[in-house]
Amino acid sequence: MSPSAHKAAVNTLLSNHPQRLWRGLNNQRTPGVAAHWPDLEPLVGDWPRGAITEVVSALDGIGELRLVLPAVAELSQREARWVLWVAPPHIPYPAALAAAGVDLSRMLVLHSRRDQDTLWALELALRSGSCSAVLAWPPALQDTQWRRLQLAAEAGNSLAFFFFRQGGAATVSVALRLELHPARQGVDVDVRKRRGGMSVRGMVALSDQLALAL
Amino acid sequence: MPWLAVQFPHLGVELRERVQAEAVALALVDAQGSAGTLLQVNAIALQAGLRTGMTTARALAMLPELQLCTCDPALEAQALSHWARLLYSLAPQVVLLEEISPALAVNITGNTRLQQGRVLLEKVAAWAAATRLSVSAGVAPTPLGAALLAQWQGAGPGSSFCPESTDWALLWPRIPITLLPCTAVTHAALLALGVRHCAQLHALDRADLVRRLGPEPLRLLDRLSGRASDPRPTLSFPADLDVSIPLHSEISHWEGLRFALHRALQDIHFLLRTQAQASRSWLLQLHGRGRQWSSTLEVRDPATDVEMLLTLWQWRLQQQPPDFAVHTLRLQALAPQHWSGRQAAWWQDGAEEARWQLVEQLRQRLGAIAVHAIAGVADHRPDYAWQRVPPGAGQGEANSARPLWLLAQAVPLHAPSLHLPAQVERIEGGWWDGRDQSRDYFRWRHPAGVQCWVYWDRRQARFYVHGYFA
Repeated sequence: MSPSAHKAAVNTLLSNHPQRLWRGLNNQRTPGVAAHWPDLEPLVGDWPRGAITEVVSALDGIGELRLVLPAVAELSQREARWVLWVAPPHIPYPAALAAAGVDLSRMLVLHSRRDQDTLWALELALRSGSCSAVLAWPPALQDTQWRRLQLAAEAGNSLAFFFFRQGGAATVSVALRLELHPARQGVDVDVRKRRGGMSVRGMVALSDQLALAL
Repeated sequence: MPWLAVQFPHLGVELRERVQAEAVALALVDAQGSAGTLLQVNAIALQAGLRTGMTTARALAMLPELQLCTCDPALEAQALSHWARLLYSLAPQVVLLEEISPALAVNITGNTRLQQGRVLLEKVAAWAAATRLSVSAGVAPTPLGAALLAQWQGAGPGSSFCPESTDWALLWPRIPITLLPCTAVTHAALLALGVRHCAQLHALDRADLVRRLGPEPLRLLDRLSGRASDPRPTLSFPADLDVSIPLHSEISHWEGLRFALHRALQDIHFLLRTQAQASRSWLLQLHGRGRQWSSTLEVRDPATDVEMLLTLWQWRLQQQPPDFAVHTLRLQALAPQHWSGRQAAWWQDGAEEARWQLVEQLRQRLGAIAVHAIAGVADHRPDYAWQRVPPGAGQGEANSARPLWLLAQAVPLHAPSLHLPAQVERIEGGWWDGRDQSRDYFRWRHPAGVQCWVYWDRRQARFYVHGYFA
């Protein structure tokens, strides 16, 4: 048997393993939503659906929304589900969102007085399956809260972005964790955690023209 | 001229039992204390050997955990009113049979479909199951006859349904005299005369009978047989759809209220459906000793089902719990409207309903203002070019020169190196609404790397950050 045949046989054996072994560097793209930024796709592939993407950015206004908006806009136009914004730190401005291709009739903004209510609303929205995308600025999460929200995201098959100012605890296993740093022509993306991939870092050029050619 | 009569043999005890979360032995007594007599018992008490007519002292000796309750006329009137609404969906004349309490009758003459026994009795059985009340039904050409047939256990299978006058002429003479709603003295006198059935009463000399027992027995017999007319006023009731449930004990937690509220919701919901109505607005009142809690629930969809309504009330009560023990619960459907159901689309998968159900749940728990959409407004001033709108109403013109984040309050900027660029977007005006402004907007990259939307306030001669190109 040739070495390539050996390799194929081992791959098949591992793929069919009853314990569903995790395999690093397998380069298998999980079904998700296209990021629509040419520089970003080699770094993260598609945005994962049914999982939470953690976006850490110490500053507002360095391109954190432009990075995710093309995918969110695509979902808002393609699916008859809500795009939910949970506790955004500022006012999502309708003129700019419409220019980015977001269907404003699908958009919901939620503010609650208590952190506990924010978490409740997040879990309900993620689990309901009625949101195509959830963009949230939650309070600092404990491991159990992370786990609950991850299970809810799996159940609802939503695209979920959680934005933080500081990185989360290392014990939490998220599908994708990005750290963003300002850059002159775009944003510097540091992929700290990715299922099926290694940590990578790269510059993503962001243009101001966000509208999708859908 | 057939009538349907429905009689409630265990109404008093069942009205208490159906709002109990746990199965307990219950008995309705005529007086408080051990000197009373059992008027009605529920199935658990019956299995334990208790029977109506027993003294309370003996019943308690046999079953110490027996719970006692007395007759509540207001509660019974409410239940009868509820059933009257159901019966009005069959025909336009419903009467209360006061002499056979509690019983109602409806004239089904014009409804030929219901005069087939199976259809009618199935409908009554379904209502009885929905309201969790035992019901006996009878059909006869007279309202009194129908009520007595409903009560008569010995008539034989199917004999409680006798809409035809020819059959009725053969049946009513067999009815036992003890079923006639006379006084105990009259019953005793008739039995002493050897009268056991209505046929024997009918055979007696009328003048002699009137002289001995008064006109009442003959008057009842004539109304029973159809020989005399039996005019009765049509039953009316308040237009409001509400249910009041006295709780067996005072309750101060949601779990205890849940069962009674579920019962009240089911009752009103079922009634609304029967009348092709639905309500978007519900009022719940909780009464304690000298205290009251009241709240209104507005739902978007009139077809919201009982379980969802119960969940919404649960959140409301957990957010704003009453700070007293509740002894009575009252639920009211406000302004019911005509609702003939929703036409299902061929490919409808319920996703649209689920989408709005999520909004409903979020708004009920967090408040209506906590969940909203955003829409553009035709105003050239950025502060006033947007507004919060109800979910689903978001819209707006695209403008790629605007930032994705707008600050609720512009922040003064202290940047010595910042100078006004050559190209700016001048926005000014607003004298007509007293919010005049004169600003020069431009993009500026903060040394930290943040893309800011900055304006120079021409009146204050100062820079402000108003948004971020996030």
